Amino acid sequence: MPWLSTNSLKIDHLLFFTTFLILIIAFLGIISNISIIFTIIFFAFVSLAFLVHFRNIKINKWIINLISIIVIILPFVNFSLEDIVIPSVEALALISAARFLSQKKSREYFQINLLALLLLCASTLFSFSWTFLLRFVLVFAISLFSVFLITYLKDTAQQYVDRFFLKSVFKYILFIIAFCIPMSIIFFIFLPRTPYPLFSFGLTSSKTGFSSLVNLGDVSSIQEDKSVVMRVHIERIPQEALYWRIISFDNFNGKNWTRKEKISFPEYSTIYGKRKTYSVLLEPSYENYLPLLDFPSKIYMQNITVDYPAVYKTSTPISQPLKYLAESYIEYEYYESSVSKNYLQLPPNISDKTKKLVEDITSKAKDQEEIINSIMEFLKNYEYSIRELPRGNNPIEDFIFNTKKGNCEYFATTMALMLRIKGIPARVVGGFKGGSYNPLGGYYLIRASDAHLWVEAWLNGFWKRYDPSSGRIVRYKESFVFNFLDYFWNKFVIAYDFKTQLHLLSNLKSPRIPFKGKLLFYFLLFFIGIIFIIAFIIYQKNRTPLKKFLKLMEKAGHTRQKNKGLMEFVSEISDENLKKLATNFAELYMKIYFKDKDFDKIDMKRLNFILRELGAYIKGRGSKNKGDN
Amino acid sequence: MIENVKNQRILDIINHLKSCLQGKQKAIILSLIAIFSKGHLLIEDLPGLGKTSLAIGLSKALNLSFGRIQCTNDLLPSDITGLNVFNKNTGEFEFKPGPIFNNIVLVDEINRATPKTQSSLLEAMAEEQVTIDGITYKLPKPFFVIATQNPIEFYGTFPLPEGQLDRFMLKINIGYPTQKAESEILMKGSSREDLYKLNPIMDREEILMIQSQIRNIYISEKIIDWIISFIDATRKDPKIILGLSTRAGLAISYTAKTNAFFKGRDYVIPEDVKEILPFVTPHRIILKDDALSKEEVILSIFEKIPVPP
Repeated sequence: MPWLSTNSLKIDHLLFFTTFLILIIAFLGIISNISIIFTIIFFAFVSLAFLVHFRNIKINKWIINLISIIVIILPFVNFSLEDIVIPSVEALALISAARFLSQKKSREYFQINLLALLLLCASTLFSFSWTFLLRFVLVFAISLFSVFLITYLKDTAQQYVDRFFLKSVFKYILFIIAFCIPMSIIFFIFLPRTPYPLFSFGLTSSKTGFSSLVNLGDVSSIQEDKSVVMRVHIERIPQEALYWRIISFDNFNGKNWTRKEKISFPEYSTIYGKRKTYSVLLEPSYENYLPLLDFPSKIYMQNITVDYPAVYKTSTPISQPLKYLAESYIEYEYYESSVSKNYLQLPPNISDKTKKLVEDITSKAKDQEEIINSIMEFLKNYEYSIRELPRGNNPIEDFIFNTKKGNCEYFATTMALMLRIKGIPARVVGGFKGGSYNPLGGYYLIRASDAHLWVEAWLNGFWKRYDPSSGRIVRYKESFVFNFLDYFWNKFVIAYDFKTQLHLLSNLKSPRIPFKGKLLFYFLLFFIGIIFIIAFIIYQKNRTPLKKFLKLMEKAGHTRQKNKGLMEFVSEISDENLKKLATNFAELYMKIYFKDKDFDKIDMKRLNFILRELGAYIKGRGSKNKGDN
Repeated sequence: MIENVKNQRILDIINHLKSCLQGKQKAIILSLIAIFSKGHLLIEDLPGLGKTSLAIGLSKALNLSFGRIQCTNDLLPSDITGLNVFNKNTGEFEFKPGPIFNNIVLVDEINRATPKTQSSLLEAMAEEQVTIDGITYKLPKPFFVIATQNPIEFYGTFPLPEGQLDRFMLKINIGYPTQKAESEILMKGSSREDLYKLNPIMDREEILMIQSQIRNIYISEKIIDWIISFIDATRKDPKIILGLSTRAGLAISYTAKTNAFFKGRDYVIPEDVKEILPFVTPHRIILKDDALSKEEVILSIFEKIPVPP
């Protein structure tokens, strides 16, 4: 690119690139949520824009308008009322791309910047992760730069800028950002926020939660999903205790597990174990169930219903990140005096072949514990896999006798059924297993791929956890830094809600820290002061010598018409002294301007010197006139 | 102000000529602009206002050869260009150059010549060469035509169409001298004799050098853009049938450069363009309504274009 090597850059190209950057950064926020076709169209427009810009092709306005109309309509061609957000965002993205394609003057550049900003805001409808902050800061900085350029272009009609100019612009932008960050932190903390989300569109998202019905093979689809389900702030606990319980199932009909909503609590139950308190930051799951460390005992949250056994539910589906505090027992002993008959239910299509197999396996067992152990031992012969799962009419028998390959669902289901055949009450529990610990943040990160199903059996009055597929699952290695960032973003930004705000404010009001409030006040005052000073400096510097000159001349009663050249304007001044000074200025200015030279420091000094002289003269003349009157 | 010449050499010429051409300072400067821009000059004026004096004065002061063509309707192209004459002694045809083979050529009342003659003249002006019987003869350098035309008499004339007028870089009118200048002329009597005795100030070489210097005067893209937006406006204006050509744009930039040089600058400012515009552009356009003045229409369009910076 030859224009890069020269010392002065064409504003037009610079603007084109900055706008391109802004557009792309904003678009990347939504790229994973919109349809691939529109992504392709978007990039086609953008690359076409490059061609149009650098080949200097002029496209008729009506073509662009037609394209704009088409791209607005296109995403809505097959939309449903349920999901109006995605087509709207798609249309927005395409309009900005079409704008980018059109001939661009300062007005269009402003428009594209604005559209990109909207696009960025729209991306928060899909995901509000820390990358948004990154994108936002980038777009903010580049937009600032772009706005500087646009105004400069508009005010001075200069075609080129030099590196010196760019350097100073960068300086201002850094200043502005440096002062915006503390300000926005202050606003973030104090600006009142609603206790409820303002925009809760029922966005369809990938399902990562368990529902009250689990088809065999369902969990495997979750297991391939690497998205984060939750983060649990807790001290490190033994790996074998890391079971995150969500829901338990009692009823198996041969194909899927369901739960009876109303199983009554037993007459007497008790639990011993190590008590752990922890906080959970849950990503939206669009389900009502709350995952908790097995075995949960308490949750510090309102409007939660608890079903037997330890199934915690919210009243509405979780569509926003949710933070809650809870308490659980690990390495527990859980006693229940009686058990529901539901835990002995068998599907109608269970064959004698299966029953006979169970008898064969457990023939040597003397008591219930040995039965369980022999079943566990038997299942070790089976292969763990999350692909090519049996899905026929009788998937469990397929698993047991034919494929001998399955994931935790098949293992757990088979074990539960075998236990039930042998008259041992058993249930299947759905949740997550494991999670990777982040020692710096002190939290466990649980992904959808950690989804798991295991078995609980009622043995001599104690419910015990059995995991027939334990140790078979390959775990995913975590990228440390990004998850850490993600965690902090969620913990300190997303989870900062109305309640936390109130809490913080009431703390501020308390008499214990009155001096801090004062400090904050000074702090604010200081920042506002500095911002004003910077704004003033920028204002001063941004005024070109010509503008200053014309303003001074206006003060002296000479307004330049647009069709008058500078020399012509100056030559019409009647006051000889003023004319002389003004001519000096005009000559010097023109000499640099019309030779297409850059205003260097010495020139600026000279020009400003003349301007000061002019200002002093005009002032002196003004006061003299007053004196005469 | 176009009279505000600051370049010393040019001032020397003007002051030298001023002594015998009273009250024609502006015409002198404009003619010099035309010469140094390598263009040609059309003077539209009434008879007896000193067109010939101006041409002779220029040729003397610049030490250039001078030729004169008085146009009539029986003037033939060969009367201008010259022709091959049979030489009895050598038994061969010899080329006898016409009056156009001079540095400064005064074409008086060009609109009296027939279109055929006019176009052969204009062709010679554009090409700076003449072809006779298949042999091309270069015209001397610098080559400068001052054509005059009488705007009042129409009987038996062939007015130059705008397309032909486009080839004249400047069109001026001398106008009546001021009363003071006129009384001075009457007091002194005709100064034609003095004109022929005028000492040269410059020579051919220097003129050519200045011409090439002027071509190197810096003209900013900002000014070019401004000129182009003006030209474009004349093409789009509803009052105008034929707007300004690209040749007109070239003429504007050349003459603006010369004007800048005259002002002692090595770069063009908008005022340079503004000053020469009334002489460079009006004769090149065709108006829908003949009753309007071309100059006024052009200037009214020009006033609407904002001047950089």
